[in-house]
Amino acid sequence: MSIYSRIPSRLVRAPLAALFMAGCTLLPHGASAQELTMWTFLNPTADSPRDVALKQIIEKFEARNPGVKIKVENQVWFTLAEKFVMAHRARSAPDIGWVNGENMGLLINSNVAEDLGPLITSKWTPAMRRDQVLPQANEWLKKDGKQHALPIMALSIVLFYRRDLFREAGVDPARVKTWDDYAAAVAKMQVVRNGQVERWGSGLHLSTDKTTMSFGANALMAAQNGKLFGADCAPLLANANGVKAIEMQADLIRKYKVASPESFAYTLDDVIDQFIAGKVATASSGNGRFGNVVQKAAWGGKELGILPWPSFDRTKPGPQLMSGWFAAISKDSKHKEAAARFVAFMTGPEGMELWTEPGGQVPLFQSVFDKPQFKDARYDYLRDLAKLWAQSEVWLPAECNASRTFVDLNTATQRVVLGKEPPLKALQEAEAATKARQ
Amino acid sequence: MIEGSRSAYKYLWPALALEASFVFAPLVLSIYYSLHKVRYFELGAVVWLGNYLDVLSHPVFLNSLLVTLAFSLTALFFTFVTGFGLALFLNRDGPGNVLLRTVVLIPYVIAMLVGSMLLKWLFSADAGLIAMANAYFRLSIPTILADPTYAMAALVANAIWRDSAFAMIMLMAGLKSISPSLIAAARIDGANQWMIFRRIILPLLKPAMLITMVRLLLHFANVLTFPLILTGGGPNNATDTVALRIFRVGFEDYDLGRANAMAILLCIFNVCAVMLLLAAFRKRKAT
Amino acid sequence: MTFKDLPGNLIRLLISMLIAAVALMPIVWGLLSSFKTPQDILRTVPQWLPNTFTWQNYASIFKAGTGGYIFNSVLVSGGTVAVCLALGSIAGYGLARFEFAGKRAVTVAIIAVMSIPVASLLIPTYTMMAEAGLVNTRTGLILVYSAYQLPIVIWIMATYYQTLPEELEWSALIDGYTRTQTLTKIVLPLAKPALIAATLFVLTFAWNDFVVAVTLLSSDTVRTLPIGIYNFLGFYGREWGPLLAASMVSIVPLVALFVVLQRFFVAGMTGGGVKG
Repeated sequence: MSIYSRIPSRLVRAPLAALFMAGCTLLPHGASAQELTMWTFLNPTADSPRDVALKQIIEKFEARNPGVKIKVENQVWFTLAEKFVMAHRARSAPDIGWVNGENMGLLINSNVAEDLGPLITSKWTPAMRRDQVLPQANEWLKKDGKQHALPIMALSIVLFYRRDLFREAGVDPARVKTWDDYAAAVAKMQVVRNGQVERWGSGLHLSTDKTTMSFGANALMAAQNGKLFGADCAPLLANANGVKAIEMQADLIRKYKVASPESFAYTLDDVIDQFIAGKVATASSGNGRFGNVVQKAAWGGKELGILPWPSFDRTKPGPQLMSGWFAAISKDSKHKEAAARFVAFMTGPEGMELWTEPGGQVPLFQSVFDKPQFKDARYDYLRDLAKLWAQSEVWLPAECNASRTFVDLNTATQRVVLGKEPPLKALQEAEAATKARQ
Repeated sequence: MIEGSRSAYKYLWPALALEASFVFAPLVLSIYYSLHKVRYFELGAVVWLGNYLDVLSHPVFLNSLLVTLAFSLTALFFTFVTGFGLALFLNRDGPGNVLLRTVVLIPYVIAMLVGSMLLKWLFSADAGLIAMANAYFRLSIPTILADPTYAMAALVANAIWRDSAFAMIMLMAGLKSISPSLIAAARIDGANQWMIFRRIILPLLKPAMLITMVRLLLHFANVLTFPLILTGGGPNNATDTVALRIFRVGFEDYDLGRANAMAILLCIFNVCAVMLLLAAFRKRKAT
Repeated sequence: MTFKDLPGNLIRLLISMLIAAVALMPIVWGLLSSFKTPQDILRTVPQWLPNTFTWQNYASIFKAGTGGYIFNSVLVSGGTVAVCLALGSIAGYGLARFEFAGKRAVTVAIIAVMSIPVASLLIPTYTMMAEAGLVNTRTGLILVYSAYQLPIVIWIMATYYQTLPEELEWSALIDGYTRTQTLTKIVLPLAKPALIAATLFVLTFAWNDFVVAVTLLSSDTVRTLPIGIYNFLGFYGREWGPLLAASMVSIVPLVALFVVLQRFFVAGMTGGGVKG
C-alpha cells in the first residue's frame, strides 16, 4: 500500500497530485531527455573515416549534454536537400538537416531553415571569427542577414593527376599553367595500342546528368574573375571568354584528341572510375574522393596529386569552386536550443578536431590546424588544400542554380563538338536555358 | 454478360476507392499545381494555362516529344516482336524451357538502375565490353554512347533487353488460355502449323496482344531510368525523353508547375495513343 | 529422339544459347564483379574472372543493414501482391462479366492511371500521405504501390476471365453456388496463368521501385532494398562491389519464386471442363 493511498481524504489527494505535477514541470529542463533527429548521408554505425568522426562527435556531445540524444537517420545523399524541404512543407522535418552546396539554392529560396545568427554565430568571439579558415563559407550561407546554415565540411572541385605518369613523361607539374600546357602535357601520357586508345590523356565529364563544373566552365570563370552570374543570376556565358573556354574544351576532343569522344556520356562518377582504373591520366572531382581513389587505385595511391587548375592566364590558376556539406536547423524544430548546441559543437573547433582526425577533412578553424597532433606530415595534404583554397576559392551565388548552368555549358560543348552550332550560338542557348529557370 | 450496375459495383468499389484516394486525388492536386507558378516546392501565383503554353512553345520540350515518340514506337515494335518470338519458342512446358524462361526473366527482375549501368558499361568504348572486343578482335566499333543515333539505338536495346520478358510472359499467359483440345481438333481436321497459328492462335491471342502493346507503350513513354542512367539524355538531347524532362524541370530546376504541366500533357498524349490502339484492334476484330 | 530430330534440336539449342547469352552477358559480368576486390573491378582492360575471389562485398552489404531492408521489401512487396490480387481479381470479374453504367468510364480510368508518369504524382502523394500520417510507413507504401499496379492486374484478370466459357459459371450457379463462391471456387483456380503473370509484374514493381520509396520513407527501420542499393552510389564514389552484390542478392527471391510458380503456369485448364 503506497503512502498516497493512506491519505484519508479524497479532497486532500487531488490537490496534492496537482501540486506534484506542477512541481515536476518546474524542475530544470535537463531532467527530461530531448531527442533530436538529424538527416545526413553519413552513418555513425559504419566504418569509413567520416562515419567514425560523426560517431565520435555525437558521443562527445551526448556525454557533455546528458539530456540530449541525437538520432541519426541516414538518407541517400542526393535526396537530402529535397527531402528536408519537402518534409518541412509537410510539417514533419527533422530537427537538423545536412544540405550540400549544389542544393543550397533550394534551401535558401525555400526559406525552411532557422536563422543560425542569433542561435550560434552571434555568440562567437571576435577571436573565433578571425580563426576561420574559410570566412567566405559563412557569408555564402547568409542571405538578407539570415544565416541559413553553417559549414560542416568544405570541399572543392579539383584536378587530380598522377605523379608517376608525369614523371614518366618528363613533365614538371609546376610548369603546367595554361590550357595549352595542359593539352601538351597530357598528350604525352596517352597510350595508343593497335589503333586503340588504352589511356586517354585527359578525363572529361560532359554528361548532362550528375555532373558539375567542367574544364570549360572553370576556364570561363577564371577569365571572368570567378564569376558565372551577374546581378539577379543573369548568366555571363555568351561572350568572348565563353567562346574561348568552350572551344578549348571542344578542342581537347576534336583537335588535341586527348579526351575521349565518349566524354558526352561520362558523369563525374564515370571519369573517376576510369581514373582509378588507369584509363585516363587526369580527372576532375570533388576533393573528398581523394581517400577513395588512394584506396582503390591499382597504380599506387601515393602517386595521387592535385594540380592547380590551368587557365588562360599564366600568372593565375583557375578557381577552386567551393562547395561542401552544411548543417541547417528546421524552422519547425521543437528543440531549437538543443539543436543549436549540437550544430555549434559539430561545426565548431571541437567538432573540427574530430572531422580532421579521424575524418580526414580540412579543419575550418586555424587554431585546430595549429594543434600539435596535426603538425605531422600526414596532414600536409590538408594544409596544401587549405592553401589552394585561400589562393583561389570561388563561391558561386548560392541562390543561382549553378549546377544546372554547368549542364547547359556541357550541352553547348556537345553541340560544338558535333558541329551543330558555332560556339557563340551554343552559349546563347545555354544562357537562355539558365534565364528560363530563374 | 449480366445487366446490373449494383452487382457490378459490388466487385469494383474497393479497387475504385483505392484508385480514387491514391491516384486520382494526387492527380487533381498535381493539375492544381500545374496551374500555378511553383518554385522550390512553394505554390506561387495562379497562371492558369501559362505553364502549358510556355512548355508547348519550348523547342527543348518539343524535341523531347519527338524523342519520346521515336523511342516508344521503336522500342514497342522490337520488344513486342522479340517477346512474341520468345513466347512461341518457349511455350511448351518442360525443364529446358522453364530454365530459359527464367534466364530471360533475370534482366526484367534486376533493378533497372543496375541493368542500365551494366549495359552502359557494355556499350562503353573506353571501359567496357566493346573496348575488350576492340582490343582482342582488332575491331573498331564506333563510340555508341557519343553518337546521337547510336545512343538512341542503345536506349532501344536497353528496352528490348529488359522488357521482352514482360511481353513473353503476357503472351504466354494468353497462349496458355487457348485450350489444347482446340488445337488438337484442328490438327485432326488437317490444318497445318501455319494455319493453326493464323486462324486459331492469333485471333484468340488478340486480347493478350492488346494488353501487352498498351502496357509496353505506356511503360516506354513514361520510363525514367533508362534515359537517365544509360545516356543522361544526350548526346545533345538526342535521347531526352519527356519523362526525363519532367524529372529535370521538377526536381533539378525546382519548377514543379511546368513539370506537372508536361506530365499532364504526356498523360493526355498517352491516353490518346492508347485509345487509337484500342480502336485499331476493335476494327480488326470486326473484319 | 531420332536421328531426324537432331538438326531441329541442334538449331533449338543454338537459338537457346544465343538468347541466354544476350540476356545474361551483362548480368554475368555483374555477378563475377561482385566477387572482385575494388582494385579488380576497375581495371584498364576489363577482366571477366576475379584475380582474387572475395566475399567481402556480400559481407559488407549485410553489415550495412541489407538484411533488414530485404525484410521490409518482403513485407511491402508481399502486401502489395496480396492487395492487388485480392482487389484485382474481384474487380476484374465485375468488369468481365457485367454490363453496367459507367463501364466505359472504368476502362478509361484504368488506362488513365497507367498513363500517368509517376514522377508527377510524387509531391502531391507525399503531401497527402503526410496529412494522413502514412508517410514513413510500410503500410502507406503498400497502398500507393497497389494503387499504381491495380489497373494492369484488373485488366489482365478481366481479359483472362473472358477466355473462360461462361457455361462453367452458369452450371455452378444452377448448382446453388453464389456468385462469390463461383468466383473463388471455379473461376480463380482456372485463371492461374493470369494470376501468376500479375503476381510477377506487381512483385517486380514493388520489389524494385526506388522513386516512390525514397520519397515516402526516411527511417532506416522501414527502408526497402532499392534504397539500400541506391545508397551504394555514395557521395564519395560509386561502390561497385557492394552495389552489384546487393543487386545479385535482390534477384534471388524473385527468380526462386518464379521457378516455383511455373508449375502452375500451364495451359489448357479449361480443357476437360466443357463437353461438346
